[in-house]
Amino acid sequence: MADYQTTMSALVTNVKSLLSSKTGSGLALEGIRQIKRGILPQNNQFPLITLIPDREVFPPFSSSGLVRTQRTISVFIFGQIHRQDDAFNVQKYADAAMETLRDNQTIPDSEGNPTVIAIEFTPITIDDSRGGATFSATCISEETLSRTTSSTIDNNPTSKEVLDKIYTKLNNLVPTASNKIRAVFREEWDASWTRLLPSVTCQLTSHEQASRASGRDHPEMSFDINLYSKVASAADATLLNHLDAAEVIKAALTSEANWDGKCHDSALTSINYGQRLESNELLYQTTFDVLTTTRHNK
Amino acid sequence: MAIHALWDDQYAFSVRKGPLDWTDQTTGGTATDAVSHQDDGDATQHDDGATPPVEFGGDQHFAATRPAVTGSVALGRVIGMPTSTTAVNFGMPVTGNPDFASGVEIIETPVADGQVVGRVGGGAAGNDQSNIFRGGSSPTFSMEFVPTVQSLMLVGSTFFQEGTAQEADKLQLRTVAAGQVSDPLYVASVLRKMSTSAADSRILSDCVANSFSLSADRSTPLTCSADFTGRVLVTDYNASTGAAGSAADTTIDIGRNYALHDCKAAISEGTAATQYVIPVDAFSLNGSMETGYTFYNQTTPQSILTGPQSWEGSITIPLAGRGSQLSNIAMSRILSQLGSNSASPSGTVTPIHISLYWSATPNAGDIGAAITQPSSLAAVRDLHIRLCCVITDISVGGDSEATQTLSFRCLNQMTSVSDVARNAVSIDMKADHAANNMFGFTGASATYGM
Repeated sequence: MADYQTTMSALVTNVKSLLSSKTGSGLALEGIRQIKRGILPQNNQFPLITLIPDREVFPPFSSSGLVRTQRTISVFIFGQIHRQDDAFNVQKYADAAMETLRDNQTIPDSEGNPTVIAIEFTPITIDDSRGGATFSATCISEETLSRTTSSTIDNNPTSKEVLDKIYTKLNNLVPTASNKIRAVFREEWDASWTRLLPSVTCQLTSHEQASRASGRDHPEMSFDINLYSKVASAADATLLNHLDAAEVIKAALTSEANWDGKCHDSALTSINYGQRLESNELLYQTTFDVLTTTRHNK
Repeated sequence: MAIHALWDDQYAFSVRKGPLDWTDQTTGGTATDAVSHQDDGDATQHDDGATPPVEFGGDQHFAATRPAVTGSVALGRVIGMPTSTTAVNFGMPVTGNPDFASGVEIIETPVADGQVVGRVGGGAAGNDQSNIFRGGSSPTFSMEFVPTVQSLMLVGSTFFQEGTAQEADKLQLRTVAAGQVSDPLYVASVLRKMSTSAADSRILSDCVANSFSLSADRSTPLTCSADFTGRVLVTDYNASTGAAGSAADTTIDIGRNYALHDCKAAISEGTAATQYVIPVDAFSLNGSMETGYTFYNQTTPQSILTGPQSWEGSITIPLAGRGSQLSNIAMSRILSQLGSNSASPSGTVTPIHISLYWSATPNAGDIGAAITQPSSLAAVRDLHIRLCCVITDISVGGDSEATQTLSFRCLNQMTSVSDVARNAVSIDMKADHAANNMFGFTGASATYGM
C-alpha cells in the first residue's frame, strides 16, 4: 500500500502497535496490561485499552478519484476503580494514549511507512461509574478510487432498478470465498438469517425529488447497505475479518459512477461501524451510506 | 397565461450555419442566409424548391426532424444534437431559470426649452416633443448547464466558430490561429419555453457566444456557462407550433456528465510527450471574445462582428501528496520553474500543458506517475480538454488543508506564423456513432494530435 494510505482494519492494527510500543517499563503507557481491537471478553486484565472502529467519511473527490478519507476510531481505557486514584490513573492513560498518537501523526505501518496525513481528537470523556475513559481519533489518509462509467444515462429509473444494480454487484461477491460474504438480501435484516452470517442487506432509505435544471429533475435516492458478522468470540480476529469484508463491499460500492447508466452520479458518503444485539446474538454491524442522483426528464 | 411556475420552463438551443446576411429579413423565397426571425418576431422560411424541399430559414429552429445529414450542411441549415441522420435534439438542462435581457438602449436628450420636467412623446405621428428616444437593441442571455458531449459541442460551436470540427465520430472544439472570419460561421437561437400552447415563449434569435467557461470542483461536475449577444428578442413564440409547424423539441441529451472524481489530470512542459498525473481539486477555464455590432441607423444589429479571443483559467492542487513529484517542496519548485527559461530569466517563455482526461476506462497512471499523452479518444462520450498555458500566478491557500492555485493564460503555441504546434484550448470528444451523430459542421478534420 502506498504511503499515506490505509484501511480501517490496518489502522486499528497500526494504532494498537503504536500504543503497545509505549507499554514498556518507564514509558507513557507502562502498566497497561492489555490492548485489544473490538469488543471485550467477559474476563479482562485491567487496566486495558480497546480500539473500536467508529466511522469512515468520504469528502468530495479530487481528480483521479483522490479522496482524503476520514477514519474515526474510538479509544476506550478501562480500569478497576477501587479508590479515587484509580480513576485518575484511567485519565492518565487516556491522556498518554492521546499524546502517543498526537506525537506520531503518521501512524506508521509494520514497515515504518506513514499511513496517515493528520489526526484530530475529541476531548477525553471520563465515566467514573464504569471506570473508563474514552476519546475519538479521526485519522485522515489518502485513497484513490477510480470508477467505471457508462456513456449514457437512463431516464427516470425506479428505485428498485437502482437497488437491483447494487444488489447484483454485491451478490457477485458471494461466490468468491476470500470475500467472506455468504449472502446478500434486498430486505431488512431478519433474525432467521443468523445462520448465513456474514451477510449483507440493501435497502432504500429515502427518495427525494430535487429539481436542479430546466427540463430535468435530479431525484436523489439514499440506500443503506448493512454488513452483519457474528461475534463468535471477543478475539481481535473476529473484528478484523468483519473489517476485511467491509473493505470488499466498500470497493464494490465505490467502483461504479452511475451503475450501468441508471444514475447520473453515485457516491459512498460514509461508513458507520457498530454492533447490534439480535435475538441474544451480538453482531458486528457496518452501514454503508450510498447516495445516488438519477435523472427524470420532464 | 396561467400562473407561471419557473420550474416548468424548458430551454432549447439551436444553431444555424452562417455567415448570415444580417440585413436580409425576407421570407418565402430561396434565400439561404436570411436572418432567422424578422424584427416583428416572425420566423423566416426558405427552401430550395426540391421535392421534398430542404428548408433553410429560422422556422426550422427546434424542429426534431431534418433531411438526412451525412456531412457538412449547407448555408442556412439548422444544426441540433443528432440522434440519427434525420433526428435531432435541442433541449438544454439550464440551471437557475435565466431570462433574456432586451438590451434596448435608451437615449436621453435634454432639450433646453424651458420645460420643468422632461417629456416623452405621445406616440402619435408628428408628436416628437420628447427627451427620450429608443436606440439600438442588442439582447443578451447568460446560461449555465452541466454538459454532455453533444450539448458541449453544440453550444461550443457558437464560440469556437471555425475551430469547430467533426470527423466521423470525432468531435472537436479548438482555438484557431488564423482564418477566423469576423462574420460568425455558427449562430444560435435560444428558446425559453414558457408554456406549451400559448404564444408566450421567448427566443433570443441569431446570437453568438461572447464568453465561454468551463469549471469543475470536488463537489460540482464539469459545468459550462456562456454569455450570448444576439440580433432580436422574440417574445411571442408559440412552442407548440413554431418548429416548422410542429412542437419545438426540448429533448435533453442522454449522455453522461463529467465529475472531477472521474477525471485524470496531467501536466507537462514544453513539447514533452511525457506528462505527470496531478490531483486537481478545482479547475476553471474562461474564454472571452470581442464582439461588436453595426446598426446603420436601424434598431437591430445589421451585422455582428466577432474579434480576438482571450483565455484564462486556473487549477487548484492539494499541496499534500506523495512521491518525488508531489511532495510540497518538489511540486512548488517544479511549478515555479515551469514557464520560465532558467538560463535567462527574461527570455522566452516555455508553455506548460494541462490536460484533463475523462475516459470510460480511466487513463493509466497513479498520481505523480509519468504517463504518455494519449493519441486518441478510446470510448464513446470520452472527453479530453487540453490547454497550452503560460502560468501567470501561483498562490498557496486553503482552509484546513493547504492548496496551491495556478493561474494561467492559454495561448496557441506556434511553430511559424500560421502553424499551430499546440492549440491554446483543444476540447476533443467522441460521439456515440460515426454516421448517426453528424451535426453538419463545416470543419471535417478533427485530428486529435496536438
